[in-house]
Amino acid sequence: MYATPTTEQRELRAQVAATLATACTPGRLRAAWADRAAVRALWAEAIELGLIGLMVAPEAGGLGLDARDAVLLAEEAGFVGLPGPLVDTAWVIAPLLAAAGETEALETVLSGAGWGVVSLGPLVADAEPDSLILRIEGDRAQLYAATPADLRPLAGVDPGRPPARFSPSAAPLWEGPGGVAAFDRGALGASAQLMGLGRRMMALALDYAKVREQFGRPIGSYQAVQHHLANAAVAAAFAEPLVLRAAHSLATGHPNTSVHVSMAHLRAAAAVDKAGRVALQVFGAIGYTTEHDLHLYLKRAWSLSRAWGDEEFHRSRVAAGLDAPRDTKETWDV
Amino acid sequence: MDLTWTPRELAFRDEARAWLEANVPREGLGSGDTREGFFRHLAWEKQLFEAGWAVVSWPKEYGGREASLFEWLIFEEEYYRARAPQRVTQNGIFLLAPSLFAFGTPEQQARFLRPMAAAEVLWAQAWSEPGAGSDLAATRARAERVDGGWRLTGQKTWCTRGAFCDWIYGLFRTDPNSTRHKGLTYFLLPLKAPGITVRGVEKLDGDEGFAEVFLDNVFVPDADVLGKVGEGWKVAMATTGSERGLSLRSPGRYMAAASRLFDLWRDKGRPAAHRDAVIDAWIDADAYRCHTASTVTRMVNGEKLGAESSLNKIFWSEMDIALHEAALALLGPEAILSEDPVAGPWLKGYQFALAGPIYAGTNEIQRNVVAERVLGLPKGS
Repeated sequence: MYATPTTEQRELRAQVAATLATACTPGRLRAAWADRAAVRALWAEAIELGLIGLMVAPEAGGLGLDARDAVLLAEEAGFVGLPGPLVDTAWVIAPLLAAAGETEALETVLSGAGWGVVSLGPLVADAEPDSLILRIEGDRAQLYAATPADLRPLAGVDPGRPPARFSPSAAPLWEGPGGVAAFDRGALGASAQLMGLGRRMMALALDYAKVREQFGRPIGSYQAVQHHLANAAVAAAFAEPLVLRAAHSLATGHPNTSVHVSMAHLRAAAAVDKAGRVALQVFGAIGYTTEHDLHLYLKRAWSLSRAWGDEEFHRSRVAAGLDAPRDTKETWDV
Repeated sequence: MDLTWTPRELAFRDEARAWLEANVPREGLGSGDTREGFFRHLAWEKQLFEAGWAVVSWPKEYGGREASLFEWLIFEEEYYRARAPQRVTQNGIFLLAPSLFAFGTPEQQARFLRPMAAAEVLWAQAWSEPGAGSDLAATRARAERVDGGWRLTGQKTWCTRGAFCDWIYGLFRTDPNSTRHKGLTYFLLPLKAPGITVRGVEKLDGDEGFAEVFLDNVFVPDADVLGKVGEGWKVAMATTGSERGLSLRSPGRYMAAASRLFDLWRDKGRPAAHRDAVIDAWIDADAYRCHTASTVTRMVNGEKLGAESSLNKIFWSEMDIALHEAALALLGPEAILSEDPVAGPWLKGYQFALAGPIYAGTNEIQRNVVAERVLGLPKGS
C-alpha cells in the first residue's frame, strides 16, 4: 500500500506548476477572456510541456503517463486556471483516438492544429471551427468535425470557457463504444482541475487574511474568519484522497471505477464551491469586483463543476454502485 | 501510488478475520461504560490478549505481534466489520502507551505495558479539571516535593470509565511558581492510593461513564513520574496528536457504521428522500479511509503527524453525527425507542456521536489549530 504520490510524481508536478505559474498569470487569463488567440498561445505552451499528449503512448507521440500522474498535473492546470479544453483533449479524446488507431485525427490534436471538446448534451464549451467534438451518450461515443453551421455560440458566465449549442448535421468521423470510460476519464480530470482551482482561491484568501487589518489586527486572527478557512481546508483535505483513489482505480482498471470517479467528483465540486464561497467572504467587497483576480477562478469553477455530470447524476451512480452485490472478500471495497 | 495490499497483508487480514469470526461474542456485550458492562468487556480483553490481538502493533515482549501500521489498520477494519466489542482498555493502550513508549524508562515499560495490554491493570485519563478543559494549561492540581516522591492534591474530572479503572495518568503542577504549560509533571498513579476519592458521573446516555477524582496529599514515588519533572506538557502533547489523528478513530469504525446505515436504508425500502444522507455517510467514511491510508503511508515514510491531525478530528466527529442523524431520520417515530433492537443501538450511537465534537479537543479548538498551525494564519488574541 502506497497511498501518496511518489517523489518522482511530486517532482514532475512541481516542475509543471512552476512553468504554468509563469505562463498563465492572472494577466494572461484576462487577456484570454478578451481574445481567443491568447488561449491558443497558452495552449501551444501546454503542448510544449507535454500536457496535451500526457496519456498517449510515447510511440504515438505522447508522454505515456497514466491517471495517477495526470491527476496531479491537472490539479496544477486548475491552480492557474489554464484555459482551453485540457481534460477533453488530453484525458478523453487523444487517448480515445490513439486506441481507435485514428492517427490523423490524433496528430491534429497533438500538434495543436485543433483541439478536442466533449459534448455530453446539447451544450459544448471551447468549440472552435477547427475542433473535434466528441459527443458521449451512455456508452456510445461519436466524433465530429466542428463546422460553424453546427455551432451556435452563447454567452457564458466564464468568458474563458465560451459555451455553444451543438447540433451535428454531418455523419460522425468515427463512432464506437467506450462512452462510459471516456466520461469517467473526463469527470476525473475535471475533478482534479477543480481541486487546483479551490486551492488557488484558498491561497488568495489566506494571503489576504494575513495582511488585511481591521480593528488593529489582521482579519485572519479573528476566530470567525479562521473557522471559515479551516472548514474549507477540511473539505479539500478529504476530497483529495478520493480524487487520488479514483485515479488509481482508473489507471488499474478497477471494476468500480465509475463509482469512485463519481465520489471524487461530488467531493471535489463541493470542496471548490466551499473554497470559493469562503474566499469571497474573506475578501469582502474587494473580491466582489472584476478588478480583483478572484472572479477569474470563481467563474472557471462555476463553469467546470457542472460540465461533467451534475450532482444528481453522480449521486445516482454512487447509490447504484453501493446497492450492487459486493465482493465480500474485500473488507469495504465498493 | 499503489492502493493494493501485499500477500503478507492479505494473509494477516485473513487470519484476523478468521479469529474474529470464531471468537466475537454473537450477542454483543452491551455498553462498556457501566459497571457490569465494563467487567464483561474485561473478559473479552483477556481473550484478545491471550490470542495476541489486544495490541497488535506492540513489541512481542509486551503482548503484541509487531504488526506494521498498515496491518494495524487492517486489523481495525476487520474488528469493526466483525462488530467486535468496545475496547475498554483504549485509554491506556491508545493514549497512554505511546507516551510510555516514547518517554518511559525501561523499568516503567516493563512494569506497565504488559499488564495494560492484558487488561490486568485498567487505565483512565485524568486530564481535565473543573477549571481546565479546553485550556489544559490552566491545570491547578499540584504536587509537593517530599522524600522519595511527591504529594498530589487537586481534582480531575471527565475521567472516562474512571469509576471502574485501576490507575490514572494526569498532569500536576510541580513548580509552584509556574503558570500555564510550564512547571507541569506527568504522573501515573493507582486509584486505590490513600487520599484518593473517586465519584462516578452519569453521562447523558445514562451510563456511569465519567468520574471525578479527588486527590488529597496522595503520595506518588519518583518511579511513577513519566518523563522529566517539569516537562509534563511535552509528554502530554505527544499523545494528543495520536488521539486526534490516528489511534482514536480508525476508519473501520465509520465504514462499518456506514455499511449498517446503508443496510437500514435498504431495509426501509430505499426511500428516495434519505438516499443522499445515506450515500454521503458512505462517501465520507470512504474518504476518511483513503485519507488515513495516505497518512499512514507518510508515517511509514518517516513523516511526523503534525497539526493536521486536527483536520481529521473535525472531519470524523462531524461525519459521525451526520451518519447517526441519517439513521434516526430513517427510523422515523421509532427513533425514540431506547430498548428497541434496531433503534436502540442507533440512538445510543447518536448520543455518543454528539460527544465527538467535544472530546479529544473541541472542534472549536481544532479549527483554531488548523487555522494557525496548518494554514499559517496569525494567532487570535
